[in-house]
Amino acid sequence: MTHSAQVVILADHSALLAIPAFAPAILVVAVVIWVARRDRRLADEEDEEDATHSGPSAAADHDGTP
Amino acid sequence: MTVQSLQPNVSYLAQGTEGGGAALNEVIGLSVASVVVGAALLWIGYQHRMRKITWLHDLGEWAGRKFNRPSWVALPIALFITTIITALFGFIWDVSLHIGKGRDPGPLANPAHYFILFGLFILFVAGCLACVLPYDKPGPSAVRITRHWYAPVGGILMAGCGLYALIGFPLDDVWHRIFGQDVTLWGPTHLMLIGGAGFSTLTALFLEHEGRRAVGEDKPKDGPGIKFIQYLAFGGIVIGLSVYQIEFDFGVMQFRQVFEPMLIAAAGAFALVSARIMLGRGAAIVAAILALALRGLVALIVGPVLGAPINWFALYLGAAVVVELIGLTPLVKKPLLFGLVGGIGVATVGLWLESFWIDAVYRYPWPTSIWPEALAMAVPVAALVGVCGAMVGMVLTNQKLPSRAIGIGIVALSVIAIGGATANGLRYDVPQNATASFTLTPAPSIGDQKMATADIRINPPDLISADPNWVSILGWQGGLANQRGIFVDHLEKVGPGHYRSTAPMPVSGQWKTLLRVHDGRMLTAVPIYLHGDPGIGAAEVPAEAQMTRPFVSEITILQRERNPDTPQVLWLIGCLTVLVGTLIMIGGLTWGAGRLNKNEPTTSKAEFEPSGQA
Repeated sequence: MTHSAQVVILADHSALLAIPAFAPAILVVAVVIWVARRDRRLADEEDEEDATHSGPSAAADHDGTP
Repeated sequence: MTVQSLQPNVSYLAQGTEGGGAALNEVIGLSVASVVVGAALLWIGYQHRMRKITWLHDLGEWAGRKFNRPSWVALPIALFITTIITALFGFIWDVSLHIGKGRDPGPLANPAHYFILFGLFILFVAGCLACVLPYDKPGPSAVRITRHWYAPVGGILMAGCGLYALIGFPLDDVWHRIFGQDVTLWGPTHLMLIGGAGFSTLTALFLEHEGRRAVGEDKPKDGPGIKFIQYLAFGGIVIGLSVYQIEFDFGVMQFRQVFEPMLIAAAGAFALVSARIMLGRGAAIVAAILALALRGLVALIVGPVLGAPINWFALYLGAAVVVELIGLTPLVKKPLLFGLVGGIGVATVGLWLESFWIDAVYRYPWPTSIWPEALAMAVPVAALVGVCGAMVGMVLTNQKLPSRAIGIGIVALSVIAIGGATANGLRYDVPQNATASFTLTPAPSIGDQKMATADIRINPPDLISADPNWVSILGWQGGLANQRGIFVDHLEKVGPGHYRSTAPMPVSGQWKTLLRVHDGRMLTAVPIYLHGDPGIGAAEVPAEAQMTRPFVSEITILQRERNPDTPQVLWLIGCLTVLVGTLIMIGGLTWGAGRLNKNEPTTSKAEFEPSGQA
């Protein structure tokens, strides 16, 4: 029993060791890609709304920049 | 196969350590902590961009004032310099431990890995920081992430290089599961790890360039501190592109020697030509001196202080002098031509000057016979890479690059030249039906290590030419306590095919001791003593007083851990995967340089609306 547990440790050791480094990196990249895609989709939708309503809410800056 | 090969390893490990389970807990703890760290970083980034926190902005501004650069350059570069030096130290220490002690005995057993992992992760974080910090569009080349968030090219590339290197870790494990724990630096996944970190030095220069352009020409002149950092950056590129040579630096290269001059010429041509173009007269020499100071410091800590095997490093001073001298001619006004001529100069006169240093301190000097093939490989590579270095210099000094097709063509040609030279370098012959007959004479033991001298007759006697690359005995992985675990003895030639030791070699304990012969295309070895390695199911190869053994391929001895039963196609797939990753990285850096050059320099502080020229 102990033996099989030890086998797992050695077989996986560098992958396990690497998790602390690469997992957050992949997480961050995934989130940024998701944010960028969502923003592009929202921008497209707003553009469509502008085209149909031609209202004042353009897709210009509204990020609260002082 | 994996379980089979690992099962004995475990019983072997159990003799030495008890802490496997605890280490697993430790790793799980670390992993949980890492997810928390990842989430925390995302949270900080989100809060900063939503302007709900100000401390990150304030910290960036403070660093920006100190370094006379925008916050999104000053803070990430400070972090980058710290982390890349940490990773460099971890890398050199790790290689030296493997050479002195062999493969890792178990999880978390190698302290150097922490420095590498931490260093590469913070490298990624530094790139992300450069992307997250700027509220306004950071310069004309910035890349749109969202409508209100633009990231500098250098930051994206820095994060990309960090990510590429980090992905090397899990792939490295997959690689070792399939192919065994091959102890060589030039495993494909190892090349990802060191390549990502090595090339990231270039991204730091890109980022600094974007920052310099953003502050504009009106700002006060850069002080000596900034100048030093710029010189250091090129020293960093010298070191970053020298990572592929490390096996040669330790004297345990597992590939033909002709690679060494080519790698030195390529790294020198690229880094020193670009340094000279960006920073003017003397820059190549200062960059080379800073590189050797840094490498020297790391080598000092790893070798004499930590007791691991000693490593040397190419000086690049000859190459730097050549670049400086060519820089005094009118050629310097035509950067591409300057790069071409500089590259050729580095690969000829520069290498000749370097050879004096190599012959003086390296464990394996360059024989005269190396030059024809060395020049045939180094000159085309360094000439083209020199032009690439010149293009980087042009980007960094706002000179217009040649057309897109020419620029990309030069990079592609360089890659092809490097690929061709590498393919040639990797070809080697193992002699058939050749043997070595040893007569070992016991010498006084050192501690509990048995030592012996050898009288060796090669059969056929004319196997080795008059000027071979080396006929030597190498002992390695003998344990740090035993002469740092490395032993090299160049044999004295007594007559045709007749050689003898000049110093007693270790033939007991954990050592792997072998006779190595490298003569032009021939690269081969004969085992003298290989310790029994139950971890990989390998029996001891004892050193006998009288023995005749056949010449075999070196990697069967140097990489005994390698699994010979793996189908060739898997190896090909593995190599191709890593090749694609490397080409993507080079493609990314080329794209970044082109993008930085595409947008005309600005004279005022960058205050661009998020719309426009993304």
